[in-house]
Amino acid sequence: MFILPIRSTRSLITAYVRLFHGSKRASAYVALDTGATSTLLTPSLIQQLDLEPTTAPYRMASATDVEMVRGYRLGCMQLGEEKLENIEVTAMPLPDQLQLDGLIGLNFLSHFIVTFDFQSMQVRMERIIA
Amino acid sequence: MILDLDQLIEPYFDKYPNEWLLFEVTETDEHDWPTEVQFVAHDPSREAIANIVVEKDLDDTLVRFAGDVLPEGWHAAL
Repeated sequence: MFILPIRSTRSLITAYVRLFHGSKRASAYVALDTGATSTLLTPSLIQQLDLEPTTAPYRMASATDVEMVRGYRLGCMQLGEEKLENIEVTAMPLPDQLQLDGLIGLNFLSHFIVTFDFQSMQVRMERIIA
Repeated sequence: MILDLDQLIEPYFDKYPNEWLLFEVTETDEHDWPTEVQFVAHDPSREAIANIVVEKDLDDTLVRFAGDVLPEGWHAAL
């Protein structure tokens, strides 16, 4: 199990993730988003990791809009000590005012028992062993 | 393992406020998390930072905005 701090109840729950693809590695600052079915990365981060699209365009519904997006197969994504390999991510720009590189969605979070504890201001994440 | 990588780059937050910061990761621990980084660039544009990573062919990077992820007074519904 590992623990992420909740910095404020007035902002998003953020964390660093490590991303691995071929010889490329990146540390990115993202938000945990239980409202997102997919993990989103910004086009800038996709470019840095030299990812190629692996899906045909598909529809992505956000809070205010529907966009056509592409999926990319990422070698590995790590949060805390836990790594998930061969994970699909979606390239999608975030609003300019949101200074993040992505959103960690349910396709990643669903591999964990996730406890949002707003009393101790912690997110506790324990890997589900299949 | 340093879960909060801000510890590594904190001095640059005051130096380049409200800009994107780019670091090259030079050392990692046994869990592959950065333990040492080298400052490379700063720019208000995230796209410009991505272009620098590609131009310099950096293999291991850390990118972070030096400021609030959401401007004060703003709310988010993602």
